[in-house]
Amino acid sequence: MDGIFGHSWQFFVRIFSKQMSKRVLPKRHLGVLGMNPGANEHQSQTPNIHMQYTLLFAEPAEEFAKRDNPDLAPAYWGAWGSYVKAVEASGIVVNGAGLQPPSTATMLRIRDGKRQIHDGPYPESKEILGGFFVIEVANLDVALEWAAKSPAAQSGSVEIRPVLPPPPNQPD
Amino acid sequence: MQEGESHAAIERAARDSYAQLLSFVAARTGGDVAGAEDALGEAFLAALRQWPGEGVPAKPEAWLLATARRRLVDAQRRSAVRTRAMNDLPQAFAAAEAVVHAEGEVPDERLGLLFVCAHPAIDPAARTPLMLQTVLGIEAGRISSAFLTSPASMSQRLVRAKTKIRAAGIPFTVPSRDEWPERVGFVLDAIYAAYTTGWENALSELPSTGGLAHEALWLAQLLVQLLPDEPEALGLLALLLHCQARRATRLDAAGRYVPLPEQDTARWDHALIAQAEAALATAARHRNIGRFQLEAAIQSVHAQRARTGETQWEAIALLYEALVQHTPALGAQICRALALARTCGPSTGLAALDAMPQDLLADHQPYWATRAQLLAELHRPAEARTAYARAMGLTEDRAIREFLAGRAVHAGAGL
Repeated sequence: MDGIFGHSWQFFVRIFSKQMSKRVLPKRHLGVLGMNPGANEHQSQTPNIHMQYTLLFAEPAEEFAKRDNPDLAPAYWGAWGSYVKAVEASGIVVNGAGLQPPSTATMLRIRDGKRQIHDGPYPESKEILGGFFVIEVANLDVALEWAAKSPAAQSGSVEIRPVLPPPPNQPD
Repeated sequence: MQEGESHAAIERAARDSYAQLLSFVAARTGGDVAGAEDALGEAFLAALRQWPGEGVPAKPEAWLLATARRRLVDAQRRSAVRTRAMNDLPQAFAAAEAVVHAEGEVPDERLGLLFVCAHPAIDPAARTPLMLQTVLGIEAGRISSAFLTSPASMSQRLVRAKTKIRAAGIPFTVPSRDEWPERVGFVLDAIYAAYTTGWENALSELPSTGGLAHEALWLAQLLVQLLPDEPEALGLLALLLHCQARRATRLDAAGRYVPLPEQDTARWDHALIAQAEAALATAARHRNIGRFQLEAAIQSVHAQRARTGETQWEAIALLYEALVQHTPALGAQICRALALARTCGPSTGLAALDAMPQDLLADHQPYWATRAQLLAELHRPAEARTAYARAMGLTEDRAIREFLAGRAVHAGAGL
Protein backbone atom coordinates (compact mmCIF):
# COMPACT_ATOMS: atom_id res chain seq x y z
CA MET A 1 0.00 0.00 0.00
CA ASP A 2 3.01 2.30 0.36
CA GLY A 3 4.80 3.88 -2.54
CA ILE A 4 2.65 6.22 -4.59
CA PHE A 5 -0.32 6.00 -2.27
CA GLY A 6 -0.82 8.50 0.48
CA HIS A 7 0.90 11.29 -1.44
CA SER A 8 -1.82 12.42 -3.85
CA TRP A 9 -2.84 15.26 -1.54
CA GLN A 10 0.60 16.82 -1.85
CA PHE A 11 -0.07 17.81 -5.47
CA PHE A 12 -3.08 19.87 -4.37
CA VAL A 13 -1.08 21.57 -1.63
CA ARG A 14 1.66 22.48 -4.14
CA ILE A 15 -0.76 23.86 -6.71
CA PHE A 16 -2.68 25.86 -4.15
CA SER A 17 0.49 27.33 -2.62
CA LYS A 18 1.54 28.53 -6.06
CA GLN A 19 -1.86 30.10 -6.61
CA MET A 20 -1.84 31.78 -3.23
CA SER A 21 1.39 33.51 -4.15
CA LYS A 22 -0.07 34.60 -7.47
CA ARG A 23 -3.38 35.54 -5.82
CA VAL A 24 -5.19 33.90 -8.68
CA LEU A 25 -8.36 31.92 -8.22
CA PRO A 26 -8.33 29.22 -10.88
CA LYS A 27 -11.16 29.12 -13.39
CA ARG A 28 -12.18 25.54 -13.93
CA HIS A 29 -11.81 24.45 -17.48
CA LEU A 30 -13.65 21.61 -19.04
CA GLY A 31 -11.84 18.53 -17.82
CA VAL A 32 -13.43 16.07 -20.19
CA LEU A 33 -11.55 14.86 -23.22
CA GLY A 34 -13.15 13.28 -26.19
CA MET A 35 -16.62 14.31 -25.12
CA ASN A 36 -18.71 16.45 -27.35
CA PRO A 37 -20.91 18.36 -24.96
CA GLY A 38 -23.78 20.31 -26.42
CA ALA A 39 -23.34 18.61 -29.77
CA ASN A 40 -27.02 17.87 -29.68
CA GLU A 41 -26.35 14.33 -30.77
CA HIS A 42 -29.46 13.46 -28.86
CA GLN A 43 -31.63 15.82 -30.90
CA SER A 44 -32.27 12.89 -33.23
CA GLN A 45 -33.77 10.92 -30.36
CA THR A 46 -37.07 12.80 -30.42
CA PRO A 47 -37.33 14.21 -33.96
CA ASN A 48 -40.14 16.62 -34.81
CA ILE A 49 -40.94 17.29 -31.18
CA HIS A 50 -40.67 20.98 -30.53
CA MET A 51 -42.02 22.62 -27.45
CA GLN A 52 -43.70 25.93 -26.96
CA TYR A 53 -42.82 28.04 -23.97
CA THR A 54 -44.14 31.34 -22.73
CA LEU A 55 -41.46 33.65 -21.36
CA LEU A 56 -42.93 36.18 -18.95
CA PHE A 57 -40.63 39.10 -18.29
CA ALA A 58 -40.93 40.75 -14.88
CA GLU A 59 -39.00 43.77 -13.74
CA PRO A 60 -38.66 45.60 -10.40
CA ALA A 61 -40.58 48.88 -10.20
CA GLU A 62 -37.44 51.05 -10.51
CA GLU A 63 -36.52 49.29 -13.72
CA PHE A 64 -40.00 49.60 -15.18
CA ALA A 65 -40.06 53.28 -14.25
CA LYS A 66 -37.22 53.91 -16.69
CA ARG A 67 -39.80 53.75 -19.48
CA ASP A 68 -41.11 57.15 -18.36
CA ASN A 69 -37.76 58.75 -17.63
CA PRO A 70 -36.54 60.66 -20.68
CA ASP A 71 -32.89 60.30 -19.61
CA LEU A 72 -33.07 56.56 -18.91
CA ALA A 73 -35.72 55.49 -21.43
CA PRO A 74 -33.44 55.31 -24.51
CA ALA A 75 -31.09 52.83 -22.88
CA TYR A 76 -34.03 50.84 -21.49
CA TRP A 77 -35.77 50.54 -24.85
CA GLY A 78 -32.46 50.06 -26.60
CA ALA A 79 -31.72 46.96 -24.53
CA TRP A 80 -35.19 45.54 -25.09
CA GLY A 81 -35.08 46.44 -28.78
CA SER A 82 -31.85 44.48 -29.28
CA TYR A 83 -33.28 41.48 -27.50
CA VAL A 84 -36.56 41.52 -29.41
CA LYS A 85 -34.67 41.80 -32.72
CA ALA A 86 -32.50 38.81 -31.82
CA VAL A 87 -35.44 36.66 -30.79
CA GLU A 88 -37.43 37.53 -33.89
CA ALA A 89 -34.44 36.95 -36.16
CA SER A 90 -34.02 33.44 -34.75
CA GLY A 91 -37.41 32.40 -36.14
CA ILE A 92 -38.62 30.94 -32.84
CA VAL A 93 -41.36 33.47 -32.05
CA VAL A 94 -44.96 32.29 -32.04
CA ASN A 95 -46.33 35.45 -30.45
CA GLY A 96 -45.26 38.28 -28.19
CA ALA A 97 -46.04 41.74 -26.93
CA GLY A 98 -44.79 44.45 -24.65
CA LEU A 99 -47.40 45.38 -22.08
CA GLN A 100 -48.72 48.75 -20.96
CA PRO A 101 -47.97 49.79 -17.38
CA PRO A 102 -49.55 47.99 -14.39
CA SER A 103 -51.77 50.99 -13.70
CA THR A 104 -53.70 49.98 -16.80
CA ALA A 105 -54.15 46.42 -15.57
CA THR A 106 -57.31 44.89 -14.21
CA MET A 107 -57.36 41.72 -12.13
CA LEU A 108 -60.27 39.35 -11.98
CA ARG A 109 -61.01 36.63 -9.47
CA ILE A 110 -64.14 34.71 -8.70
CA ARG A 111 -64.66 33.77 -5.04
CA ASP A 112 -67.81 32.28 -3.62
CA GLY A 113 -69.45 32.69 -6.99
CA LYS A 114 -68.81 36.43 -7.00
CA ARG A 115 -66.58 38.30 -9.41
CA GLN A 116 -63.85 40.35 -7.72
CA ILE A 117 -62.36 42.96 -9.97
CA HIS A 118 -59.25 44.76 -8.83
CA ASP A 119 -57.69 47.82 -10.38
CA GLY A 120 -54.01 47.24 -11.13
CA PRO A 121 -52.02 44.14 -10.14
CA TYR A 122 -52.25 42.63 -6.66
CA PRO A 123 -50.06 44.52 -4.18
CA GLU A 124 -48.11 41.39 -3.06
CA SER A 125 -46.34 41.14 -6.39
CA LYS A 126 -43.15 43.16 -6.19
CA GLU A 127 -42.17 42.72 -9.81
CA ILE A 128 -44.04 44.10 -12.77
CA LEU A 129 -44.90 42.02 -15.79
CA GLY A 130 -43.52 43.96 -18.73
CA GLY A 131 -43.99 41.66 -21.69
CA PHE A 132 -43.93 38.13 -23.00
CA PHE A 133 -42.87 35.94 -25.87
CA VAL A 134 -44.30 32.61 -26.91
CA ILE A 135 -41.44 30.72 -28.55
CA GLU A 136 -41.10 27.34 -30.17
CA VAL A 137 -37.80 25.57 -29.44
CA ALA A 138 -36.49 22.06 -28.93
CA ASN A 139 -36.39 21.84 -25.15
CA LEU A 140 -36.19 23.66 -21.82
CA ASP A 141 -32.47 24.31 -22.03
CA VAL A 142 -32.88 26.23 -25.29
CA ALA A 143 -35.77 28.23 -23.77
CA LEU A 144 -33.58 28.97 -20.74
CA GLU A 145 -30.83 30.25 -23.02
CA TRP A 146 -33.21 32.72 -24.64
CA ALA A 147 -34.68 33.78 -21.30
CA ALA A 148 -31.16 34.41 -20.00
CA LYS A 149 -30.46 36.86 -22.83
CA SER A 150 -33.35 39.17 -21.89
CA PRO A 151 -32.84 42.41 -19.94
CA ALA A 152 -35.41 41.20 -17.40
CA ALA A 153 -33.10 38.29 -16.47
CA GLN A 154 -30.56 40.83 -15.21
CA SER A 155 -32.84 43.22 -13.35
CA GLY A 156 -35.88 41.09 -12.48
CA SER A 157 -36.94 37.58 -13.37
CA VAL A 158 -38.27 35.53 -16.24
CA GLU A 159 -40.85 32.82 -15.81
CA ILE A 160 -40.59 30.02 -18.36
CA ARG A 161 -43.81 28.11 -18.57
CA PRO A 162 -44.54 25.38 -21.10
CA VAL A 163 -47.63 26.02 -23.21
CA LEU A 164 -50.38 23.43 -22.92
CA PRO A 165 -50.18 20.82 -25.64
CA PRO A 166 -53.30 20.35 -27.78
CA PRO A 167 -55.83 17.96 -26.21
CA PRO A 168 -55.40 14.24 -27.06
CA ASN A 169 -57.26 12.85 -30.06
CA GLN A 170 -60.38 10.98 -29.23
CA PRO A 171 -60.97 7.79 -31.20
CA ASP A 172 -64.23 7.66 -33.16
CA MET B 1 -17.27 -16.76 -5.91
CA GLN B 2 -19.55 -17.10 -2.92
CA GLU B 3 -23.30 -17.50 -3.27
CA GLY B 4 -23.99 -14.07 -1.76
CA GLU B 5 -21.44 -12.28 -3.94
CA SER B 6 -22.75 -13.63 -7.20
CA HIS B 7 -26.28 -12.73 -6.13
CA ALA B 8 -25.12 -9.14 -5.69
CA ALA B 9 -23.45 -9.20 -9.11
CA ILE B 10 -26.62 -10.57 -10.71
CA GLU B 11 -28.72 -7.93 -9.00
CA ARG B 12 -26.35 -5.23 -10.18
CA ALA B 13 -26.54 -6.54 -13.76
CA ALA B 14 -30.33 -6.36 -13.59
CA ARG B 15 -30.24 -2.80 -12.26
CA ASP B 16 -27.68 -1.73 -14.89
CA SER B 17 -29.71 -3.13 -17.79
CA TYR B 18 -32.96 -1.70 -16.45
CA ALA B 19 -31.46 1.77 -16.07
CA GLN B 20 -29.87 1.67 -19.51
CA LEU B 21 -33.20 0.75 -21.09
CA LEU B 22 -35.03 3.34 -19.00
CA SER B 23 -32.65 6.09 -20.11
CA PHE B 24 -32.89 5.03 -23.77
CA VAL B 25 -36.70 4.80 -23.80
CA ALA B 26 -37.38 7.90 -21.67
CA ALA B 27 -35.13 10.03 -23.88
CA ARG B 28 -37.15 8.97 -26.93
CA THR B 29 -40.60 9.65 -25.45
CA GLY B 30 -40.12 13.35 -24.76
CA GLY B 31 -38.78 12.64 -21.28
CA ASP B 32 -41.61 10.41 -20.07
CA VAL B 33 -39.69 8.75 -17.23
CA ALA B 34 -42.85 7.59 -15.46
CA GLY B 35 -44.15 6.02 -18.66
CA ALA B 36 -40.88 4.21 -19.25
CA GLU B 37 -40.85 3.03 -15.61
CA ASP B 38 -44.39 1.72 -16.02
CA ALA B 39 -43.45 -0.12 -19.18
CA LEU B 40 -40.24 -1.63 -17.82
CA GLY B 41 -40.95 -1.93 -14.09
CA GLU B 42 -42.53 -5.36 -13.99
CA ALA B 43 -39.92 -6.83 -16.31
CA PHE B 44 -37.27 -5.44 -13.96
CA LEU B 45 -38.91 -7.03 -10.92
CA ALA B 46 -39.18 -10.30 -12.83
CA ALA B 47 -35.45 -10.10 -13.58
CA LEU B 48 -34.65 -9.54 -9.89
CA ARG B 49 -36.71 -12.63 -9.06
CA GLN B 50 -35.64 -14.98 -11.84
CA TRP B 51 -32.03 -14.15 -12.75
CA PRO B 52 -30.48 -15.25 -9.42
CA GLY B 53 -31.77 -18.76 -10.13
CA GLU B 54 -31.35 -18.82 -13.91
CA GLY B 55 -28.23 -16.63 -14.21
CA VAL B 56 -27.96 -13.35 -16.11
CA PRO B 57 -29.20 -13.87 -19.69
CA ALA B 58 -26.67 -13.55 -22.52
CA LYS B 59 -28.58 -10.46 -23.74
CA PRO B 60 -30.11 -8.95 -20.59
CA GLU B 61 -31.73 -6.01 -22.34
CA ALA B 62 -33.35 -8.26 -24.93
CA TRP B 63 -34.79 -10.30 -22.06
CA LEU B 64 -36.18 -7.19 -20.34
CA LEU B 65 -37.63 -5.82 -23.57
CA ALA B 66 -39.33 -9.10 -24.47
CA THR B 67 -40.84 -9.36 -21.00
CA ALA B 68 -41.93 -5.71 -21.06
CA ARG B 69 -43.30 -5.95 -24.61
CA ARG B 70 -46.17 -8.19 -23.59
CA ARG B 71 -47.27 -5.78 -20.89
CA LEU B 72 -47.04 -2.81 -23.22
CA VAL B 73 -49.27 -4.45 -25.81
CA ASP B 74 -51.83 -5.34 -23.11
CA ALA B 75 -51.84 -1.82 -21.69
CA GLN B 76 -52.38 -0.24 -25.07
CA ARG B 77 -55.25 -2.55 -25.91
CA ARG B 78 -56.96 -1.67 -22.64
CA SER B 79 -56.58 2.07 -22.90
CA ALA B 80 -59.29 3.96 -24.75
CA VAL B 81 -57.51 7.28 -25.17
CA ARG B 82 -54.32 7.55 -27.19
CA THR B 83 -52.19 10.28 -25.75
CA ARG B 84 -49.04 11.47 -27.41
CA ALA B 85 -47.02 9.48 -24.89
CA MET B 86 -48.77 6.28 -25.87
CA ASN B 87 -47.80 6.92 -29.46
CA ASP B 88 -44.19 7.54 -28.55
CA LEU B 89 -43.68 4.56 -26.25
CA PRO B 90 -44.15 1.79 -28.82
CA GLN B 91 -41.85 3.70 -31.18
CA ALA B 92 -39.19 4.04 -28.50
CA PHE B 93 -39.56 0.36 -27.66
CA ALA B 94 -39.22 -0.59 -31.30
CA ALA B 95 -36.08 1.55 -31.53
CA ALA B 96 -34.65 -0.20 -28.47
CA GLU B 97 -35.49 -3.62 -29.88
CA ALA B 98 -33.89 -2.72 -33.19
CA VAL B 99 -30.66 -1.59 -31.52
CA VAL B 100 -30.54 -4.65 -29.26
CA HIS B 101 -31.17 -6.91 -32.24
CA ALA B 102 -28.33 -5.29 -34.17
CA GLU B 103 -25.80 -4.60 -31.41
CA GLY B 104 -26.82 -6.92 -28.58
CA GLU B 105 -27.37 -4.03 -26.17
CA VAL B 106 -28.53 -0.42 -26.02
CA PRO B 107 -25.93 2.35 -25.86
CA ASP B 108 -25.39 3.48 -22.27
CA GLU B 109 -27.33 6.74 -21.96
CA ARG B 110 -27.40 6.82 -18.19
CA LEU B 111 -25.22 9.94 -18.21
CA GLY B 112 -28.05 11.89 -19.85
CA LEU B 113 -30.43 10.53 -17.21
CA LEU B 114 -28.06 11.60 -14.40
CA PHE B 115 -27.92 15.12 -15.79
CA VAL B 116 -31.72 15.19 -16.05
CA CYS B 117 -32.14 14.12 -12.42
CA ALA B 118 -29.78 16.90 -11.32
CA HIS B 119 -31.10 19.58 -13.70
CA PRO B 120 -31.43 23.02 -12.04
CA ALA B 121 -35.15 23.05 -12.92
CA ILE B 122 -35.70 19.98 -10.72
CA ASP B 123 -36.50 20.55 -7.04
CA PRO B 124 -33.17 20.01 -5.19
CA ALA B 125 -34.94 17.76 -2.67
CA ALA B 126 -36.01 15.48 -5.51
CA ARG B 127 -32.67 15.09 -7.29
CA THR B 128 -31.06 12.41 -5.13
CA PRO B 129 -34.26 10.35 -4.75
CA LEU B 130 -34.82 10.53 -8.52
CA MET B 131 -31.30 9.29 -9.23
CA LEU B 132 -31.66 6.42 -6.80
CA GLN B 133 -34.99 5.38 -8.28
CA THR B 134 -34.20 5.72 -11.97
CA VAL B 135 -30.46 5.06 -12.27
CA LEU B 136 -30.21 2.34 -9.63
CA GLY B 137 -33.80 1.05 -9.58
CA ILE B 138 -33.94 1.41 -5.78
CA GLU B 139 -37.45 0.93 -4.54
CA ALA B 140 -39.33 3.99 -3.34
CA GLY B 141 -40.02 2.72 0.18
CA ARG B 142 -36.33 2.28 0.86
CA ILE B 143 -35.61 5.79 -0.44
CA SER B 144 -38.32 7.38 1.71
CA SER B 145 -37.11 5.67 4.86
CA ALA B 146 -33.50 6.71 4.21
CA PHE B 147 -34.65 10.30 3.83
CA LEU B 148 -36.88 10.05 6.89
CA THR B 149 -39.97 11.06 4.92
CA SER B 150 -43.27 9.26 4.64
CA PRO B 151 -43.66 7.07 1.54
CA ALA B 152 -46.59 9.28 0.51
CA SER B 153 -44.62 12.53 0.55
CA MET B 154 -41.59 10.99 -1.18
CA SER B 155 -43.89 9.51 -3.80
CA GLN B 156 -45.46 12.94 -4.38
CA ARG B 157 -42.02 14.51 -4.71
CA LEU B 158 -40.94 11.93 -7.29
CA VAL B 159 -44.16 12.22 -9.29
CA ARG B 160 -43.87 16.00 -9.39
CA ALA B 161 -40.26 15.78 -10.57
CA LYS B 162 -41.06 13.30 -13.33
CA THR B 163 -44.01 15.43 -14.45
CA LYS B 164 -41.72 18.44 -14.57
CA ILE B 165 -39.20 16.57 -16.75
CA ARG B 166 -41.86 15.71 -19.29
CA ALA B 167 -44.00 18.84 -19.16
CA ALA B 168 -41.14 21.33 -19.19
CA GLY B 169 -39.15 19.44 -21.79
CA ILE B 170 -35.96 18.90 -19.82
CA PRO B 171 -33.60 17.39 -22.39
CA PHE B 172 -31.62 14.16 -21.93
CA THR B 173 -28.45 15.72 -23.18
CA VAL B 174 -24.98 16.23 -21.86
CA PRO B 175 -24.58 19.95 -21.02
CA SER B 176 -22.51 22.37 -23.06
CA ARG B 177 -18.97 23.41 -22.19
CA ASP B 178 -20.02 26.67 -20.49
CA GLU B 179 -22.52 25.02 -18.20
CA TRP B 180 -20.39 21.97 -17.55
CA PRO B 181 -18.79 22.81 -14.16
CA GLU B 182 -22.10 23.91 -12.67
CA ARG B 183 -24.15 21.03 -14.07
CA VAL B 184 -21.60 18.38 -13.12
CA GLY B 185 -21.53 20.04 -9.70
CA PHE B 186 -25.26 19.39 -9.28
CA VAL B 187 -24.82 15.72 -10.18
CA LEU B 188 -21.93 15.39 -7.70
CA ASP B 189 -23.90 17.18 -4.97
CA ALA B 190 -26.82 14.79 -5.44
CA ILE B 191 -24.58 11.73 -5.20
CA TYR B 192 -22.81 13.18 -2.15
CA ALA B 193 -26.23 13.80 -0.55
CA ALA B 194 -27.04 10.12 -1.02
CA TYR B 195 -23.92 9.23 0.96
CA THR B 196 -24.49 11.67 3.79
CA THR B 197 -28.21 10.86 4.09
CA GLY B 198 -28.70 8.28 6.74
CA TRP B 199 -25.04 8.60 7.75
CA GLU B 200 -26.09 8.97 11.30
CA ASN B 201 -29.09 6.64 10.96
CA ALA B 202 -26.91 3.82 9.77
CA LEU B 203 -24.58 4.01 12.69
CA SER B 204 -26.53 4.92 15.75
CA GLU B 205 -29.61 2.87 14.97
CA LEU B 206 -29.96 -0.68 13.67
CA PRO B 207 -27.79 -1.27 10.62
CA SER B 208 -30.76 -2.56 8.65
CA THR B 209 -32.53 0.79 8.62
CA GLY B 210 -29.26 2.12 7.30
CA GLY B 211 -28.38 4.80 4.87
CA LEU B 212 -27.51 4.68 1.23
CA ALA B 213 -23.72 4.54 1.45
CA HIS B 214 -23.33 1.60 -0.92
CA GLU B 215 -25.74 3.11 -3.39
CA ALA B 216 -23.90 6.43 -3.25
CA LEU B 217 -20.58 4.69 -3.84
CA TRP B 218 -22.11 2.83 -6.74
CA LEU B 219 -23.36 6.10 -8.30
CA ALA B 220 -19.93 7.69 -7.77
CA GLN B 221 -18.22 4.73 -9.44
CA LEU B 222 -20.74 4.81 -12.28
CA LEU B 223 -20.09 8.51 -12.84
CA VAL B 224 -16.33 7.89 -13.05
CA GLN B 225 -17.03 5.11 -15.54
CA LEU B 226 -19.22 7.45 -17.64
CA LEU B 227 -16.89 10.48 -17.26
CA PRO B 228 -13.44 8.96 -16.95
CA ASP B 229 -11.70 12.28 -17.62
CA GLU B 230 -13.66 14.46 -15.20
CA PRO B 231 -11.41 15.04 -12.18
CA GLU B 232 -14.24 16.13 -9.89
CA ALA B 233 -15.99 12.79 -10.41
CA LEU B 234 -12.74 11.09 -9.36
CA GLY B 235 -12.53 13.51 -6.44
CA LEU B 236 -16.01 12.60 -5.22
CA LEU B 237 -15.27 8.89 -5.51
CA ALA B 238 -12.02 9.32 -3.57
CA LEU B 239 -13.85 11.31 -0.88
CA LEU B 240 -16.57 8.70 -0.44
CA LEU B 241 -14.06 5.83 -0.38
CA HIS B 242 -12.04 7.58 2.34
CA CYS B 243 -15.17 8.14 4.42
CA GLN B 244 -16.30 4.57 3.90
CA ALA B 245 -12.87 3.23 4.86
CA ARG B 246 -13.17 4.71 8.34
CA ARG B 247 -16.82 4.00 8.91
CA ALA B 248 -16.36 0.95 11.11
CA THR B 249 -14.28 2.89 13.61
CA ARG B 250 -16.73 5.74 14.04
CA LEU B 251 -18.35 3.91 16.92
CA ASP B 252 -16.55 1.73 19.43
CA ALA B 253 -17.70 -1.74 20.53
CA ALA B 254 -20.03 -0.15 23.09
CA GLY B 255 -21.64 2.08 20.46
CA ARG B 256 -19.90 5.23 21.65
CA TYR B 257 -18.85 7.87 19.11
CA VAL B 258 -15.10 8.03 18.46
CA PRO B 259 -13.78 11.26 16.94
CA LEU B 260 -11.37 10.98 14.01
CA PRO B 261 -8.12 11.70 15.90
CA GLU B 262 -8.89 8.84 18.31
CA GLN B 263 -9.98 6.21 15.78
CA ASP B 264 -8.02 2.95 15.72
CA THR B 265 -6.31 3.19 12.32
CA ALA B 266 -5.66 -0.56 12.25
CA ARG B 267 -9.40 -1.05 11.86
CA TRP B 268 -9.65 1.30 8.87
CA ASP B 269 -10.32 -0.46 5.57
CA HIS B 270 -6.94 -0.12 3.88
CA ALA B 271 -8.11 -1.62 0.61
CA LEU B 272 -10.67 1.20 0.31
CA ILE B 273 -8.02 3.76 1.24
CA ALA B 274 -5.80 2.42 -1.53
CA GLN B 275 -8.68 2.72 -4.01
CA ALA B 276 -9.35 6.26 -2.80
CA GLU B 277 -5.71 7.23 -3.26
CA ALA B 278 -5.63 5.74 -6.75
CA ALA B 279 -8.71 7.76 -7.75
CA LEU B 280 -7.28 10.94 -6.26
CA ALA B 281 -3.91 10.43 -7.95
CA THR B 282 -5.70 10.06 -11.29
CA ALA B 283 -7.66 13.25 -10.60
CA ALA B 284 -4.45 15.11 -9.75
CA ARG B 285 -3.01 14.31 -13.19
CA HIS B 286 -5.65 16.56 -14.78
CA ARG B 287 -4.26 19.58 -12.93
CA ASN B 288 -7.74 21.02 -12.54
CA ILE B 289 -8.64 21.55 -8.90
CA GLY B 290 -12.20 21.49 -7.69
CA ARG B 291 -14.19 21.24 -4.50
CA PHE B 292 -14.47 17.46 -4.27
CA GLN B 293 -10.80 16.88 -5.07
CA LEU B 294 -9.88 19.25 -2.23
CA GLU B 295 -12.22 17.50 0.19
CA ALA B 296 -10.76 14.15 -0.84
CA ALA B 297 -7.21 15.49 -0.45
CA ILE B 298 -8.04 16.56 3.10
CA GLN B 299 -9.30 13.06 3.88
CA SER B 300 -6.14 11.71 2.29
CA VAL B 301 -4.05 13.68 4.78
CA HIS B 302 -6.14 12.31 7.65
CA ALA B 303 -5.71 8.79 6.28
CA GLN B 304 -1.95 9.15 6.40
CA ARG B 305 -2.07 8.96 10.17
CA ALA B 306 -2.38 5.19 9.66
CA ARG B 307 1.20 5.09 8.38
CA THR B 308 2.95 7.98 10.08
CA GLY B 309 1.04 8.14 13.35
CA GLU B 310 0.68 11.88 12.86
CA THR B 311 -1.72 14.32 11.24
CA GLN B 312 -0.19 17.06 9.09
CA TRP B 313 -2.38 19.92 10.17
CA GLU B 314 -0.49 22.54 8.13
CA ALA B 315 -1.42 20.72 4.93
CA ILE B 316 -5.00 20.39 6.12
CA ALA B 317 -5.19 24.09 6.98
CA LEU B 318 -3.88 25.03 3.53
CA LEU B 319 -6.31 22.68 1.79
CA TYR B 320 -9.25 24.09 3.77
CA GLU B 321 -8.10 27.56 2.77
CA ALA B 322 -8.28 26.45 -0.86
CA LEU B 323 -11.65 24.81 -0.28
CA VAL B 324 -13.15 27.91 1.31
CA GLN B 325 -12.06 29.92 -1.71
CA HIS B 326 -13.84 27.46 -3.99
CA THR B 327 -17.03 27.12 -1.98
CA PRO B 328 -17.47 29.37 1.06
CA ALA B 329 -19.75 26.79 2.71
CA LEU B 330 -20.10 27.08 6.50
CA GLY B 331 -18.86 23.54 7.10
CA ALA B 332 -15.61 24.22 5.27
CA GLN B 333 -15.03 27.45 7.18
CA ILE B 334 -15.58 25.70 10.50
CA CYS B 335 -13.16 22.92 9.61
CA ARG B 336 -10.65 25.53 8.55
CA ALA B 337 -11.01 27.20 11.94
CA LEU B 338 -10.26 23.89 13.64
CA ALA B 339 -7.23 23.32 11.42
CA LEU B 340 -5.99 26.81 12.30
CA ALA B 341 -6.42 25.92 15.96
CA ARG B 342 -4.23 22.88 15.46
CA THR B 343 -1.50 24.81 13.67
CA CYS B 344 -1.59 28.22 15.37
CA GLY B 345 -3.33 27.52 18.65
CA PRO B 346 -6.96 27.56 19.84
CA SER B 347 -7.29 31.35 20.07
CA THR B 348 -6.53 31.67 16.34
CA GLY B 349 -9.16 29.02 15.68
CA LEU B 350 -11.70 30.79 17.88
CA ALA B 351 -10.97 34.09 16.16
CA ALA B 352 -11.71 32.42 12.81
CA LEU B 353 -15.05 31.20 14.18
CA ASP B 354 -15.84 34.69 15.49
CA ALA B 355 -15.17 36.12 12.03
CA MET B 356 -17.92 33.99 10.49
CA PRO B 357 -21.40 35.46 9.82
CA GLN B 358 -22.98 34.86 13.23
CA ASP B 359 -26.56 35.25 12.05
CA LEU B 360 -26.26 32.09 9.95
CA LEU B 361 -24.80 30.01 12.75
CA ALA B 362 -27.46 30.05 15.45
CA ASP B 363 -28.65 26.52 14.58
CA HIS B 364 -25.46 25.14 13.11
CA GLN B 365 -24.45 22.11 15.17
CA PRO B 366 -20.84 21.76 13.92
CA TYR B 367 -20.21 25.42 14.72
CA TRP B 368 -21.26 25.03 18.35
CA ALA B 369 -19.44 21.72 18.79
CA THR B 370 -16.21 23.20 17.42
CA ARG B 371 -16.62 26.40 19.39
CA ALA B 372 -17.17 24.42 22.57
CA GLN B 373 -14.05 22.38 21.99
CA LEU B 374 -11.87 25.44 21.44
CA LEU B 375 -13.29 27.24 24.46
CA ALA B 376 -12.48 24.17 26.56
CA GLU B 377 -8.92 24.17 25.20
CA LEU B 378 -8.66 27.85 26.15
CA HIS B 379 -9.67 26.97 29.71
CA ARG B 380 -12.93 28.88 29.60
CA PRO B 381 -15.13 26.19 31.16
CA ALA B 382 -18.35 28.13 31.69
CA GLU B 383 -18.51 29.31 28.08
CA ALA B 384 -17.46 25.85 26.89
CA ARG B 385 -20.30 24.21 28.83
CA THR B 386 -22.84 26.66 27.34
CA ALA B 387 -21.57 25.96 23.84
CA TYR B 388 -21.66 22.19 24.45
CA ALA B 389 -25.25 22.49 25.64
CA ARG B 390 -26.11 24.47 22.51
CA ALA B 391 -24.45 21.82 20.31
CA MET B 392 -26.22 18.97 22.10
CA GLY B 393 -29.56 20.68 21.60
CA LEU B 394 -28.90 20.67 17.87
CA THR B 395 -27.62 17.08 17.65
CA GLU B 396 -30.01 14.40 16.44
CA ASP B 397 -27.51 11.57 16.68
CA ARG B 398 -27.65 9.89 20.10
CA ALA B 399 -24.02 8.73 20.06
CA ILE B 400 -22.71 12.20 19.25
CA ARG B 401 -24.95 13.78 21.85
CA GLU B 402 -23.56 11.47 24.53
CA PHE B 403 -20.05 12.17 23.36
CA LEU B 404 -20.63 15.93 23.63
CA ALA B 405 -22.15 15.45 27.08
CA GLY B 406 -19.00 13.64 28.16
CA ARG B 407 -16.82 16.41 26.77
CA ALA B 408 -18.92 19.03 28.55
CA VAL B 409 -18.35 17.32 31.89
CA HIS B 410 -14.64 17.14 31.09
CA ALA B 411 -14.60 20.86 30.26
CA GLY B 412 -16.46 21.70 33.43
CA ALA B 413 -13.76 20.01 35.48
CA GLY B 414 -11.42 22.69 34.06
CA LEU B 415 -9.05 20.13 32.54
